[in-house]
Amino acid sequence: MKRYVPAKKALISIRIIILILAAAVTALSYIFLNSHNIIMWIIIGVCWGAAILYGVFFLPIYFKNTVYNISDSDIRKSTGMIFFSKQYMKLSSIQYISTIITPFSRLTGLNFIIINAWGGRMLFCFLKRDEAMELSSQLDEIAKNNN
Amino acid sequence: MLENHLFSYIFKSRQHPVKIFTYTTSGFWLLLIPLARKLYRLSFDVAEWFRGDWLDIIIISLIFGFAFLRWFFITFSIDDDCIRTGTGYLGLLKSKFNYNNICSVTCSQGPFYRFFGCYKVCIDTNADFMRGHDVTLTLKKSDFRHLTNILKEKNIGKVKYSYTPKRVHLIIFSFLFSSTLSGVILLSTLLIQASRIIGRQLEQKYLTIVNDRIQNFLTINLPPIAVAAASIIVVGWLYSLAVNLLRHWNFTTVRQGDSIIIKSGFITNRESVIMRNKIYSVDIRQNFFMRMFHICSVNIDCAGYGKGRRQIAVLLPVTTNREINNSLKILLPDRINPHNKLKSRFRDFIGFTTPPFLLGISIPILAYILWRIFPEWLVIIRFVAFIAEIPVFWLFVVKFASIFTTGVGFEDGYAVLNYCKLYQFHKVTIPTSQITRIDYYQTIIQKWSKNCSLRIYTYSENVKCHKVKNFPLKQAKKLLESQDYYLDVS
Repeated sequence: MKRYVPAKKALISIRIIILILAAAVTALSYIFLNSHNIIMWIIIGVCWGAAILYGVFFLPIYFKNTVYNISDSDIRKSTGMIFFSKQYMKLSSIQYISTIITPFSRLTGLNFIIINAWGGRMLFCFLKRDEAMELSSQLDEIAKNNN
Repeated sequence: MLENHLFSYIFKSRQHPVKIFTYTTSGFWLLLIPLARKLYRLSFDVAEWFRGDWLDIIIISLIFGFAFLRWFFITFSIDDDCIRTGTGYLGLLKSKFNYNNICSVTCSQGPFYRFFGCYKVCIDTNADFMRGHDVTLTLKKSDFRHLTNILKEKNIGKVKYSYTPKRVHLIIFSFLFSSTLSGVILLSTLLIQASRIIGRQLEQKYLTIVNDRIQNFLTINLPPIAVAAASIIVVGWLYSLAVNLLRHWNFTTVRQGDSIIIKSGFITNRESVIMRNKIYSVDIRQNFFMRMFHICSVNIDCAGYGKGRRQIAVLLPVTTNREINNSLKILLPDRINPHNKLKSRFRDFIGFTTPPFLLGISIPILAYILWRIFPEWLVIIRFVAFIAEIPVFWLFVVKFASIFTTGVGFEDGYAVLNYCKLYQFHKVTIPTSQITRIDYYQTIIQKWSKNCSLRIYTYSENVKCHKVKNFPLKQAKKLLESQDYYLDVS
């Protein structure tokens, strides 16, 4: 059984993205809602509240609890932020694999694999680039032998 | 030399350029036409034209630019063992479809695409992708030829068995499977859209004309709204009939090796290549009239086939009961035809006819209540109640007839499920390996008469539930236990 966990770099990347988005919302509110002071401060407050909540509490919990296991016969995923879930998929049900490798993903860790199978799909998020490439080719080889 | 490289880089491995126009919004054309007219009026004085309409020109450029980028980032490559695609934002979603996982490939070419020499290709696997096809591409003729050659390559030299229905059968098929609802929706949309543009004159004029014409033929005095509604239903049905007929004209089914190739269409040509081992169930469908005239239609369940809007997954549009087994033997030679081992009994007719009976008596009661609330609407309430009773009465007749056809059987790893769903009789043959769950349930009457109904869930691209009603509980359990389906919980 092989074990994969989300890349730590991805957590930092998402935190930076959240900070940029929050700053952008703050700037836009300041420019367009300056005459409506109360609405502007409510939007800025909600935005930074959500950013802190996710960046400091929820995302670390998600990264800590997410584990992907691949055995000879199945894939298991354990994940969750507020509610926790465990998913199971037989390797024999895999039909095709999709990958999302973002630019500079070696630095950002924003690599994803979508496993499309009978009955649904399973998403592997924030893998290391090398691991994502290795895993997708391994799963693709399995899909090739499935009918 | 550089130009050639650039041209090759832009157009190779990408969809046909005409796809750029389909990625633009509908507002694009509404903006473009007046702008082009203005440029013509200014005798192609571009500077003047830009000074006057700079905002419109920028908006159009942005729409076209985004469409071009979307087209540019969507890439594909047809390899010997798989198709690779790059879709999504910036083409980042890379997928690989191995040919042995593909269930069906559907190609279509309408007049617009024919003019530009391109084809719409939809590729499907058994992966559950409810929103539509797994991948849809608009291919150039050369790419399309390359793909079809690969798909058909392994069957070259193998014997072809083909089935072409008679034209009269296609007309009957279109007649029987035309949906009034889709036609009515289209007509209503047309009227609403026209009303928005030119006011309510068109709608009122339509209603007046229809009312006047009909009143000339009929001596009874019908409310105008009822006449208009009836006319919309008739015109909607005729539209649906025409669409069905054009879609299934020139219908041909060919089996070659392990593929089935289905071609059809008059204005839009369609060709589907289906892998025979990926057909999970065969559904022989009949309505009451078809049953009376011993004709039926055969549908199949294969991922991607018949998935589009208003499409039917048909294998044999219309055939006679006598010919069906021979035709299926030719097209699907591996298929087994099991017989019913468990049949419903005539004495349980109450279980079949109670729902339409209750529906039938509830209509006059509802009409009476409505009349008491709105006494001035008596004519229209009476008319609508009378019209509503007709399909309910017909449902009663169909459900009564289904007593003699309902049944379940298992044989050599296949199951046959004979049941009636609304107005249609189904005979579904499915491998038992596709059955994922069986429930039996009892109503109060069934509990008293020791009967049960079965819900059989089967799996292909998505879950389907087949409800087979009213069997003696003891016999049903015995049959299911003989197939290792134990329903009792100890």
